[in-house]
This record gives sequence, C-alpha cells and structure tokens, in this order.
Amino acid sequence: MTGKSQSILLAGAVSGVITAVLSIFQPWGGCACCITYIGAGMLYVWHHANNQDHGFSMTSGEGAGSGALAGVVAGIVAMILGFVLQQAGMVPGPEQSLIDMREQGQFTDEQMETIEGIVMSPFMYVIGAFITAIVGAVLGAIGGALGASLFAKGEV
Amino acid sequence: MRLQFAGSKVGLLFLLLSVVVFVLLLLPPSVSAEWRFMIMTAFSSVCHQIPERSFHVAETSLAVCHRCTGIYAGIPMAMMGIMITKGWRITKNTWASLLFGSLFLLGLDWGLTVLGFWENTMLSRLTTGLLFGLAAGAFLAVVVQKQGRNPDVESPDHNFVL
Repeated sequence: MTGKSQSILLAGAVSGVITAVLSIFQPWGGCACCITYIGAGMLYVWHHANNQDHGFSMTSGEGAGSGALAGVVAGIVAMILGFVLQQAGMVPGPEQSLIDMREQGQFTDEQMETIEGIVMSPFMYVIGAFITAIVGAVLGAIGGALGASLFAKGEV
Repeated sequence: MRLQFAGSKVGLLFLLLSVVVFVLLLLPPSVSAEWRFMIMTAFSSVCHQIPERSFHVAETSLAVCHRCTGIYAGIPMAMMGIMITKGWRITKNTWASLLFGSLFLLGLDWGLTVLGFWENTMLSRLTTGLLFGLAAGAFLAVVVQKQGRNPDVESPDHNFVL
C-alpha cells in the first residue's frame, strides 16, 4: 500500500469514527458532522505531509482529489460504525427513526406499512452508502484543498 | 454562454456531485414515502434533521436543516459563479481566508446558542450556512480550475490571479 493510500484510509477511518461518535450526541453532534468530512480531507494532507522524508509539495487540486477519496472512506466507515451503534442501542435505528417521523406527522399509517417493508433491507443501505459517499466526496474535496494550502510546504 | 473550468474535468465532476447532493436534499417532498424515508435516513448521518429547524415544502421537511441547506446550496452556486465569470480576480488564499471567516461566523451562531448567549433564527442559520457554502464552493472551484491549467504557463502560487 502506498503512503498516499495509507493516508487516505487512515484519515477516512479517523474522521468516520469521529462522525459516528458525534452521532450519539444528537442533536448538537449532528451539527458538526459536515465538519468532520472536511476534516477527513485536511487530515489526509496533514498525515501525508508528515510522512514524507524529503520536501513535500502538493497542489490544492491534488489535495481536493485525494481529500474527496478520504471523505468517501469517512462516509463508509461512519455508516458501518453507525450500524454497529444502532445494534448496540446507542443511536436510534431506522425503526426508531420511522416511529419518530410518524409522530412528527411526516408519514401516514398507509405509508408506514409500505415503508416497513424496506426498513433494514440491503437496498436501503446501498442508497444510504451512495448518498453518504457523494456528500463525503464533496466535503472531503474542500478539506483536501484547504489542507494543501495549510500543510503542504512549498506548494506547487 | 460557455461554461468551463479551464479544461478541468475534475472541476466539472465536483460541480456535478454538489448539484446531485443539493437536488437529493430537495427531493423528500416530491417522492414516494419509501424513497423519502431512504433519503432522510441517508442524510441523517450528516445532519440532525430537526423538523423545527428545517424547511418544509407541502408540509414535508427537506432532508437537512436550514444551515445545511444553505451550505449545500452555496457550494454549487459558487462553483457555477466561478465558471460563468471565468473566476473573479480573487486569489486562492483570499478565498481560503473567507472560508475560515465564514466558518467562524457559522461556529459563532451555533456556539452562542449552545452556550445560551443567543438564540439563532432560521435566517441566521440559513445565512451563515450559505456564506460558508459559497466560500467553500468558490475555493474548491478556484483550486480545481487552477489544477486544470497548463502547469507550464501557470503563474506562481502567490501571484495567481484568475
């Protein structure tokens, strides 16, 4: 595994864990989740810069590209850990979310019956992973570009 | 009018992704209950989704709160703005400073409410989110636009002007 891949995976994993832990502390924790995805990109550049023996240079564009990948990893890790936390009862699962949404008047009884069929289905998690990956890519790219501006000494 | 990112396909990809995110968060009021639930659940990992702090269309809340709606609206708006104007004469570092400044305002609006010194409003949440999204989108657009240029003719970073 190259140093770059290692940095992407590490930054994504750390940010994913932080995102999952923040999800326990709702509603305030949820406010900071987008910042953790931006943090994934910044952390990638910081880690990659600190692992270079010689001079390190990176354009903000390169930082954005790799930061996006770190954001995607963070999203996937956060989703997997979120599932584990749901099973442990530390965060509300889809069933509880459905009950909450019903109490808020978001769904009627008829709609509830159709939705109950897809709760916990693999398709729901695929859609969730897809959306989380896109959000993670956009925010991670911003973080990676920022990180390159801040941490890449001698940026080219 | 021809939109371009100085040949940067990466820029267009990020613009497309940010537009997709914005469209997805607008979808819940106009899709079936199953899809609404799936989209709301997917966005729950990035936003608290409190109904009182979210926009509603036809009595159905969007997938994210006021602040996040501002952020995800601002990113593609700014990226398109940079594309249409072919970039303003503002340097990358200035956009980075504006990004940190807008993040500070966003944090202030959130932090003062948490500490009980100030009760944020729909307008303050949307405005601070939008400012942050605009600065973030502009910064991202400028750096990928720069990346798409020919390095042989690229000006040094400290002199870079679009």
